[in-house]
Parts: sequence; C-alpha cells; structure tokens
Amino acid sequence: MAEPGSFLRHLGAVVRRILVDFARTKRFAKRGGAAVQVSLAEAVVIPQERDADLVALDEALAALSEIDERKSRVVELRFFGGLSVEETAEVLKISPETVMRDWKVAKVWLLHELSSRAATSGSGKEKRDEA
Amino acid sequence: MKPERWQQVEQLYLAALERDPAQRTAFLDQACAGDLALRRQVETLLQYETRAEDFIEAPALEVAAALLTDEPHASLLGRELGHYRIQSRLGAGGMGEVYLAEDRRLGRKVALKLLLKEFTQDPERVRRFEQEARAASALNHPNIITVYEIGQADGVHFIATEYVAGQTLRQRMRATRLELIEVLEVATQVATALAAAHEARIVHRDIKPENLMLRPDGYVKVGTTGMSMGKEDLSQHKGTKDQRRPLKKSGDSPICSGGRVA
Repeated sequence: MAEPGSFLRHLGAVVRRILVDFARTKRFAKRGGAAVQVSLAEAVVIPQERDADLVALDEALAALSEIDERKSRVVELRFFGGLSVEETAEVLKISPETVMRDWKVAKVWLLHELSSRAATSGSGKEKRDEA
Repeated sequence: MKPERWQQVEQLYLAALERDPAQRTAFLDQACAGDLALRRQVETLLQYETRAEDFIEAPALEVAAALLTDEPHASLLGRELGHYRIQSRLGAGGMGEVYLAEDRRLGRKVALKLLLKEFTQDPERVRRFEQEARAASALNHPNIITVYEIGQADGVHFIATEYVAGQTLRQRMRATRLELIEVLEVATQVATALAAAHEARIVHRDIKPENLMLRPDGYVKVGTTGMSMGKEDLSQHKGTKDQRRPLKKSGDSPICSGGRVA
C-alpha cells in the first residue's frame, strides 16, 4: 500500500462489485429456482427485493458516470465504500461542500432514474451492457 | 443526455432549490426561456428532492449483512422458537424473513415473521417492527391478515400472523388476464379493508399487488407490512400529508394495477 489514501480510493468500487455480483447471482438463482420457491413466497407479504434494488442501482450509477463521472464516484465512495464526506473529499481532491452538493444532486438523479427504469419494468438491463 | 446538457440542468436545479418553492415557477420561466425540455428536466428533479433525502443514506455494507443472511436459514428449519416449530421459509423482505411455522399449542399453521438479527440491536427498527404488528392487530377485519402474537424468543423478535395459502395479486396478474369482475371483486374487498383501517386511524402505506393475498375461496387479504398507527407515525415521516391517503400512489394502488391489467 503505497499511498495512504489508496485503500479508501478503491474500497467503494470493490464493495460495489462484490455486492452487485452477489445480488445479481441471487436474483438469477431466484428466477431459475422459481419452481422450488412455490407460490407461497410472498405469502405474508414482504417489502420488495433488496438484491434487485442493488442491481438496478448499479446500472443507474453506470448511466450517471456517463454524464457526470465525479458524481458517480461520490456515490460509489460514500454508499458502497462507506466513506465520510471528508474522506470522500480527500480521495477526490475536491471540497467537502462539493461532495455534499454532488451527493445531494446524485441521489435525486438516481432516484429519478430508478423510478423511470421501474416504470419501463425490467428492461433496465438491456439499456447497457458494458461495465 | 449529454454531459453539457446535464450541467445546465444541474445548475438550474441547484439555483431553483435555493429559491422559495413559491418563486421557483417564475424563476424557471425566466431561466429556461422557452426551452420546455430543459424546464421539464429541472422540474422532474425537483419532484424527487424530498424523497431522495433518506435514499442510500445507510452505507451499502449495512444492507449487505441483511443481503447475505437473506440466504435460506437452513439452521432455522425444524427448530423451535417459543411454541412455534419452523417448517419452511416463505420469503424475505426489508426487515425480516418469513417462515411457515406450526403453533404447537393450537396445532395451527402460522406465518412467522422474524426481524433480521442485525436489526435487533437497533431500537428504532424493533419499534417499527412491533408497531406494524400493533397497528394490524388493532384491526379485526376479514380482509386484513390477522396478527396472532408478537414476541421474542432466543433473542429473535417475531410476529405471528394468520397464514394464507394462496397467491399474491401480483402472481395472479402474471398468470393470466384478470376479468373485470375479478378486478372489481379485489378492489371492493381491499377498499373495505382500507376503510376499516382508516376508521381505526391506521394507515397502510404499502398497498400493492405484492401485498395482497388471494385465497382460493375468493377472499382477499391485505398484508400487514407497511401498516402504522395514524398519528404517532406520521410525525416521524417525511412527506406525510400524501401518505395519509392510503391509495395515493396511483402506480401502486391495487385498483390501478388491477385496472391496468384489465
């Protein structure tokens, strides 16, 4: 570990990869294993799937990085990496105020993106295959 | 959207945020100068402002623990929790897992909802978990899932409710087209349930096809997830005014969803 900040710098991306891959595999298994799950899966009515949410978020984040790379990094570092505003500012070499502003705007953008993806239901994947 | 365009949208969005909501329209009229698409984009973002406050505020790793434990809890199967014997896993949700269990005292099947282990240390989660049960148990209605008991055993918080063997409205909708008469039937029953809840000052903030169980005999059962006591809860939630109207989210309302299918 050469630079002190280098671990934090990559933490977000690594955690993101692991969690999203895991969520994706699980969602896949769920679909494939539908016959085993039977129709009772929702018998008592449960709020919707977190794992699917992570996959969708990952996709929305990739879309964000295409129009605003820095904001997607802020989200990656803060949400996936768990970094504080100050740590994020240090890693990206921007001011904490900018981190806060980016964070705020990025969240609104992502939420809107997720809602519109949900509205066109399930087609989120086809939109982008890279990354 | 092009990055340059996005920068423009973002700047206007931030500028609009700084203004009093009442003045935003006039501001955007001027700033967008007839660029309707731009204006729409800024306004769309503004609409999400309040909702985005809590969004992804909890770091992913906190969610991760829950995600990992989402795997079938083989260890729980066949085990006993209080006077319940856990038989199979029915599903998992935001706060917990749901198992089919047998109440050994009464010899009947129940659905046992367990609060995820990592949430048991969080008083707020425990409170919400219990409050949902309390709200639902205040209701006695044929179209609302009955809460039998709320408790704690071996450090696990649980809610025991009526077990409904059947399918959710979502599953039903996926299977085949719903006939108009079925849609009306479901809508009427849900409306009756919500009316009763409203009467008891209980709001159901999560009415959607996934939350409605259809019993083979035609009864519709509204699930307890998302139920809360009117006043107490409202003070602690944002955007509360809208939430008091149980069927507010048109996309999620069973009637609309049913309607869409029909």
